[in-house]
Amino acid sequence: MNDVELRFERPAGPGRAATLLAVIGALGFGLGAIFTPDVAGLQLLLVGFLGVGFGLAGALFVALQYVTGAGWSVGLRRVPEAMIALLPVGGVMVLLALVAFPSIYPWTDPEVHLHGDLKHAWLQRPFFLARAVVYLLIWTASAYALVRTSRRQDADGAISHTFANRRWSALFLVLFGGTFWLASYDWLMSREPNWVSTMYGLYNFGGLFTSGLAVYLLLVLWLRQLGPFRAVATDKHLHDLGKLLFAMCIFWLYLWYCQYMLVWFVNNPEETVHYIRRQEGIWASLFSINVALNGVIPFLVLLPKAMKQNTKVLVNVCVVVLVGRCLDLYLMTFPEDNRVPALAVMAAMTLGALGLYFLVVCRALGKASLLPRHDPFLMESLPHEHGNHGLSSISTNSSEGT
Amino acid sequence: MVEVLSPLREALVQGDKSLSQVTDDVCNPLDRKTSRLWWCAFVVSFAVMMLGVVAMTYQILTGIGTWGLNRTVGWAFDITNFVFWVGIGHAGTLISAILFLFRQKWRTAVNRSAEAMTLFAVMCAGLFPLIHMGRPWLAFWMAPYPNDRGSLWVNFRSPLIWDFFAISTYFLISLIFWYIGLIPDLATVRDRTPNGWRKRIFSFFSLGWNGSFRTWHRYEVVYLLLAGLATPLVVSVHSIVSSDFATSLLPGWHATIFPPYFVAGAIFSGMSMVLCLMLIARKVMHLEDYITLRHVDAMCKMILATSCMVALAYGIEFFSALYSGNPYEHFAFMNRALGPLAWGFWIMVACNVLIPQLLWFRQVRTTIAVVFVITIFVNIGMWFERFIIIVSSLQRDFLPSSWASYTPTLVEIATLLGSFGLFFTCFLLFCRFLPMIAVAEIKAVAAGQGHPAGHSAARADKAANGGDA
Amino acid sequence: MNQSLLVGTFANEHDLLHATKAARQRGFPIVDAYTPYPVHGLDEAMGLKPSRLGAVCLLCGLFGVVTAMAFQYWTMAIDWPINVGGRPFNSWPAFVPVAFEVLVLFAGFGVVFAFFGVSRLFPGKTAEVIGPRVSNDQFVLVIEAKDNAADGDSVFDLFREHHALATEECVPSEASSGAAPSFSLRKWNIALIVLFALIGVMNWIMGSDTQQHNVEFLPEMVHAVPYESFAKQDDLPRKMAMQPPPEGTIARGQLPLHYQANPKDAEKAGKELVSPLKASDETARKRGAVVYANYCLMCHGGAGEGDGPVSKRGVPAPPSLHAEKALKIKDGQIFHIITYGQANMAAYAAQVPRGDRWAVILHVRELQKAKGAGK
Repeated sequence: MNDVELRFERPAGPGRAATLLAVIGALGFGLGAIFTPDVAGLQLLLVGFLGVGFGLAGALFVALQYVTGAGWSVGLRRVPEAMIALLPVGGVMVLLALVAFPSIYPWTDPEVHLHGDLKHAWLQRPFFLARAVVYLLIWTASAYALVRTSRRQDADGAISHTFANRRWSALFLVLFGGTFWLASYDWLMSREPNWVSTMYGLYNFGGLFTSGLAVYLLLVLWLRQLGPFRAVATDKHLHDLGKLLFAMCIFWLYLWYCQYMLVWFVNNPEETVHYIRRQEGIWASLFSINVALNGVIPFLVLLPKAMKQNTKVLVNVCVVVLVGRCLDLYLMTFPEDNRVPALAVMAAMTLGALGLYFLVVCRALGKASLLPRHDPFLMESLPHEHGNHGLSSISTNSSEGT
Repeated sequence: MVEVLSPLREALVQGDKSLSQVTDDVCNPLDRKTSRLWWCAFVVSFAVMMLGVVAMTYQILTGIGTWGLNRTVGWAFDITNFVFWVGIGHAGTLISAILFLFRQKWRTAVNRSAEAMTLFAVMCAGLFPLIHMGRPWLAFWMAPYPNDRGSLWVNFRSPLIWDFFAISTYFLISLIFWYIGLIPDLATVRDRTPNGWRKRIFSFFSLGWNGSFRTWHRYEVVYLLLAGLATPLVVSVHSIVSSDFATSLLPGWHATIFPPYFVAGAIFSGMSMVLCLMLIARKVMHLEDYITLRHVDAMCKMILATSCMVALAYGIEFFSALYSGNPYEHFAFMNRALGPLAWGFWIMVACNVLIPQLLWFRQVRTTIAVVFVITIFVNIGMWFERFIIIVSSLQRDFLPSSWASYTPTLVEIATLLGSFGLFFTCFLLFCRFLPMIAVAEIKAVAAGQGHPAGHSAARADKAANGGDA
Repeated sequence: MNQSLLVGTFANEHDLLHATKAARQRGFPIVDAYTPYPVHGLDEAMGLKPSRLGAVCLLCGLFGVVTAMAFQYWTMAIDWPINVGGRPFNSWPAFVPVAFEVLVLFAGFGVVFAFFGVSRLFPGKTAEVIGPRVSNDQFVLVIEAKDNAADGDSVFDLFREHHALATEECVPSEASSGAAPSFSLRKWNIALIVLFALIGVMNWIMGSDTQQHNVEFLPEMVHAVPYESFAKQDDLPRKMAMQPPPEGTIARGQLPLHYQANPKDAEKAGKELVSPLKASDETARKRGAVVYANYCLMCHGGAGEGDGPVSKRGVPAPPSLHAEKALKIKDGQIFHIITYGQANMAAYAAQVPRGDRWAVILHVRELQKAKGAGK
């Protein structure tokens, strides 16, 4: 097959900006840990969870592509593969938060009454921490298997790697399905230990998917802007990703509505307490804004076909979705004990984390060819004019960058 | 832009068919005399349907007392069957609409029959809410029309009214979606049918379709829009059906995960039914070149995926019930596994969770007989799932003094069988009189499989040298 | 309009596509193409404008959702609000499902009917078939002949360049069966408007009597066979459907008491009636205490002194139950007094069943004994 090497080099400008943000974030965390440890700890958990979410979303996209035998996204696959590198980074932040800030969880206080024996046994710190480590290990190991096999195929072009990755993908999906909801219960829902919603894990999954897709799309758009990747990520790909984002935002709205409506309808005080807290005072407006950012605005904006292909619109919508995801995580956790938000610390940490994640993804993108050049289905992803294979429009051995 | 396929992809239409061969393969059965096999199957399913008609007539004339319901167990076979059939209907819309949006070309071999199955399944489903009313002749009271009782409006806040709107909309939209897809194929049959009453019927229903591309152009837009509408519709319909339970207080019924869980379950059972019938149809009607092993493989994978989702939902519900510390929830789930209906629960787990795991193995997915048996087990398991959810939670709820047991009467069993009879009768009629495969769509797939330049020359030569005249 | 049509038949989509592109490039006016399935890229090749059916779909859907939400709000919160389980009247989370279904219904049917309208498809239309195998396996391109640019020869040359199977020239009246489709939108519209106008006029002429019922379906429930409890009934006494039971009606399982409500009969009852309860029956006495507290205590007081709360507030106080007279009278007389009343005391037969009356008497005796013992 055509052998085209497409490599990525991080451009200096964004790199510097991201580093600066990361430093600000670290400073913010440091100051926060000293002066407002409650907020800093919880925010560390949230940004870590956000990063873990991006990593899992990347692995999810790769796995879904293999399992469904999709051909259109093969050319873009290195982007979600790079996102997988965020798993260990986010994971470390999550673990740090869980270990160093026990005050995040009210059940660490023996005075707090927990309903049920299983809950008592389940919410014990050693067991809890062990579980966290296990989840992260499982996810990282199975996701990295995907990346490793994909990169190996670059070297020898054997089809067996595709088949192997199909199996790894199935394994990842099963493991992910079996553990992600438990992690949501453990890390987020247990902040409200006497409240349960069976939808919680799936709802978090919806947010993970949309925000991960937003990151994926932003990265693709950015890489297009830099140069030769434009030949790989065509307008048609953008349209497809835009459609996917549109659909998943509707899906998020559906999940949000199901949980809300069922709790509202049955009006059981045991369950409504969660929503009542989020509809009092300042939380009320944030609650509505959350729905708007994550579901309503992307739906309305991306409804016309032209919008799904328009780069500027897509960038804005992705940013809106990311902000929405941060707000969603914030709303899921902060109202529990009415922690006074230290907005400066939280903003600094969020931006800092995003900067750090950007650096990590860039590093991962640089580690292998931007194009999985020996993938047997690559031809289905590349643009074709009659008789011409689009690869000829990509200059060989070009590197991206300013 | 030309779409290119990797040489690794197995052909979707096998046997190197020309377009006219495709037309012949699909439309010839319509011209032939009805086979004896068809007559046997039809007589049997019609008889079973009549059994159901008799049972339902008796029940409507005499009253709900002919069923085994009691004050505690107010819903059993009736609602189980309702949810079962609605679930089966969902696969058709999934294949038609959702797979269309995901550009899965393999759907073209099965989507026509799957959509037809949806319509028949929704008809069967709609029967049950109708007959389970005490006075079915007043069913029109469910529609919000201005009346001289006040005007007394329906209770829009009730999931049972949402059901009325959802099922009607689902039936109507599925009908027009199926019909829109049929129009070009009806034109194809019209053009190859000699003059007579058959030609006139096909002429009437094909709306004067003549293959004009200006119309095709708009047709594609309409098809895409309907697919885009039908996708959230199918999710919303089963979510609404699930909220019949989820909006209640009963432990085991009120769980926020019910909507997506039920949708996954619906796709699971529906896909199994579609696959089951397709395996029979491809054999009997000699359509193995169209409904290939690749199609079977794809459907098996969907069944496997949804089986895992359903298993996950069981796990989440069970864990959450124990985790919540709520003694009623705790009991509800323990009762399902260990109480008087434990036998049904374990059938459900075996059929829904364990048996489909066999589909992980490629060997199994490509052995038709095994797949056929698995699909039957899945359908049994999914029926039991609805039964267990409904009856076990009703049977033993908060107050032990109200606990009661439930036994189905012969009337209920006959009604259930009758619904199967109705479904198969309609499906057999469909197979006999309408093209079972979406001819126009599959022609596009068949044509797209070949190599661009070489093919046209070969075809032109073949045609010029006296192919089909 | 009277230009002839140049028809080229092709064996596969690629030839048709190339021919169409070439034809457009050379400026030949393309009338239409006919294919057995929608060919990718042909719309671009023909220069077709994107369809506006998407906008129609959106508008119909919006109309549906707004109508549904408004209707639900009006019926549930304005016209006849009913409190269902304490949900607010404007329960929008519960209105969403129906609104969504109506959105899909209106959008779907709207776009389909718009499609039928724009494409002139209707049941019973005679198809204008350009070639018998178009719906099978052939692809046809139709170009309008123009004198200079698109004359027959150059067009046919182009067709043959792209491997056309057949080329043909035909005049429109031969090619299509009938100059214009037999369906006339204008006539239908006029007919519908006239029909609606007629109905409106008839409605106005006939007026409406809100006092009169419309057609009643299954009137058995509306006009029930049995008499309606509170209705007028001319053939019954006092013209009432609700009649009191006849004189002398007694409850099942009870024999009538043949006493009059006067003191003489009270004494007679005292001689004749005997309590079915034993004096030592503790359960009955406890029951009696409860009944006494419910019915007697308010006048007679807790200990029977006649100082109950009602007596303290203006109602003449009853004599004490510990008076000589009260100690002397027999159980049966007390029974008579409870049943028929005495002086200011009303008859308690309706409130206190017979068994309870005997139980109360036990309690009264207990009170009297207690007072006596205390003395």
